[in-house]
Amino acid sequence: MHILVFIKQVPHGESPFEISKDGHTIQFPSNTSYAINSYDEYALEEALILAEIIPDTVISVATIGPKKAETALRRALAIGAHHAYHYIAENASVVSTFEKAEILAEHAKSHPFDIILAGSMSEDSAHAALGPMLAALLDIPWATHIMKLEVNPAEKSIRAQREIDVSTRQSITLPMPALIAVQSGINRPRYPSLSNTLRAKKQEIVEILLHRTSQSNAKSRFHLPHRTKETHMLTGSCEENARALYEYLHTKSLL
Amino acid sequence: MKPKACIIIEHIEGNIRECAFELASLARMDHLIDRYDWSAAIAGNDIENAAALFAEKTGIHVIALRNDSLERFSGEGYLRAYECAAREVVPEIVFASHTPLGCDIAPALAVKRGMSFVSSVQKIAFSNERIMATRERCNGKIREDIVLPVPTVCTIMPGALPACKHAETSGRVSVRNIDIGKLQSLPGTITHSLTSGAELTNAEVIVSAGRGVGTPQHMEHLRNLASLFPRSAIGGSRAACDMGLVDYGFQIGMTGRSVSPKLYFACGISGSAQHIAGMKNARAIVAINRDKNAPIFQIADVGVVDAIERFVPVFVDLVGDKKDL
Ligand SMILES: Cc1cc2nc3c(=O)[nH]c(=O)nc-3n(C[C@H](O)[C@H](O)[C@H](O)COP(=O)(O)OP(=O)(O)OC[C@H]3O[C@@H](n4cnc5c(N)ncnc54)[C@H](O)[C@@H]3O)c2cc1C
Ligand SMILES: Nc1ncnc2c1ncn2[C@@H]1O[C@H](COP(=O)(O)O)[C@@H](O)[C@H]1O
Repeated sequence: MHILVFIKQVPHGESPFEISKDGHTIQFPSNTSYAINSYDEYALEEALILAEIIPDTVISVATIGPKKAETALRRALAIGAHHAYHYIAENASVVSTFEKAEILAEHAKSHPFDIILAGSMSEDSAHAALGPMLAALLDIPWATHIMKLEVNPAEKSIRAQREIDVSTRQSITLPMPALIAVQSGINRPRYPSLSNTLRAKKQEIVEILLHRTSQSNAKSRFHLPHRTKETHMLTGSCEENARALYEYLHTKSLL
Repeated sequence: MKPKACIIIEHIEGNIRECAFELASLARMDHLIDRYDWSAAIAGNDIENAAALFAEKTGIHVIALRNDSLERFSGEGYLRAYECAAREVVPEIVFASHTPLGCDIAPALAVKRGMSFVSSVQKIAFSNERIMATRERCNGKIREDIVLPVPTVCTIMPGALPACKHAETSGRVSVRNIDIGKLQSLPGTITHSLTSGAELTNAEVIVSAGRGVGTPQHMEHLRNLASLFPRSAIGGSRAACDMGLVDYGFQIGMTGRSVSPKLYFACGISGSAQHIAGMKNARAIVAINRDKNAPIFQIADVGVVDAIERFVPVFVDLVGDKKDL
């Protein structure tokens, strides 16, 4: 069985950033640390779990991103993916989700797959769009926000459970090939072992240079959120802050 | 002729979700009310009553898309149904809810209809004859203003808009028995599980854990903090539940519980829209986060810029000392 996992590299959540004066770009300093989008770590782990159960399963990962996104692919290889494809676009952050879906749909058409696994959303851009777009382009069935996945290779079918909210779930059966976008918490992603990390350093990554990516024509303006409240910010020493918080709660009769 | 705007009515087994009525309030917004010819679409097999209810409450013309294989939700089936509605209406803009079901179909509908897609919108405004949407990125740290392209499919965060006021006159209902062909997906039943966490509803003080709490050991600090208050409970963000720090029944937010305690401690929680949706009605919010730019500080009454494991024990000790006096 072939499983394709689409992963994205995202800046660490606490990374400082700057918004350009015209508001059109978000810049992260060169020392920013990046990681695999956490939803995609769950997707990759789900692929590895399936590969443990189903013999002869091949897992390929693919990403669209700048050169530095290679570290995300290396980590995916170290965790257990077999092949990695890197669509290199230095301006990946301005490539629209639809264009990404087109690129990845072309990839899927030229590589065998039974299941595509993706995350429910990217933590940085928060579109929650690419999975269903890709399924629509490939004309394959799909299901998102999946919290449970079972595959029957003999019948070529997938049984999945989507989360509507924490107390409401729906089951769905899809024939393969199909696309599954996972919700966070579906599993506990593993860490790579040291020996695998060393091996992954030498593994081949197929690089494809993207030329046709255009800037999306919808011009965004970025800004910081506005305060909705008069917040007392406590930035003193730990003890000062503790006393100030105590005073606040005391005057409000909350403590 | 006016351009058309169409709302997708989300329902579970014929029960319309609150977020659908919130979308209807867009049809009453200044500028939007007159600019568009509004309609709403609902797909399913036994949905005439739901359609009538929505039309009555909102005054919007509802197109009910009927087919037996739409009894249960599948992206594939519901997409085909909404494509039928889109072929009939040819909307310039489609509004759906940014929920697991809304997000399952809205991006695919955009692709099939050759429309743009703008998601997780928090605010809609109107300026220079154009609709401006504000969405969030990076768990709420950054806001993004976009002039909505035409035509477009747009998903709106539940809770971002007020629920629609009751209309004076009911809208029409048009029932369409549609042909959607044979579906490959076989949608199953919906199961409701009784989860833990009911305590959160009555708690006066909630101490909520986020990813920033880091390890199960640090939960001890939060338990100590909670025990300073008589009617208190511990909750958590999705990330805290995923990490096993807190049981899913105690998840607070869009897909978890909604709470409105007197006092809410957000400990190591960044403040994503999905989390804020469940706790913004707390009367007082104290946020503790080591990142001074964390968006949770935008809605907090008191913001403590510090690490949980450093600050909380010091605070708990201080209160203990005061109580001993
Ligand atoms: C369909 C869907 C539904 C969702 N529903 C919900 C929901 O109902 N509820 C919900 O909460 N989320 C929900 N989410 C997830 C949501 O998008 C966020 O991912 C989640 O809220 C983030 O949780 P967090 O703030 O704990 O983690 P993060 O965003 O990772 O934030 C952690 C914070 O901790 C701070 N921190 C780190 N270390 C420390 C330390 N030592 N001391 C102090 N601070 C520290 C960091 O600065 C950061 O601000 C949903 C997502 C999807 C896709
Ligand atoms: N640049 C990218 N390269 C590969 N996969 C991506 C990329 N961006 C998004 N994805 C996949 O699409 C999912 C949804 O992302 P999004 O629609 O951007 O919120 C992610 O969880 C990934 O699985």
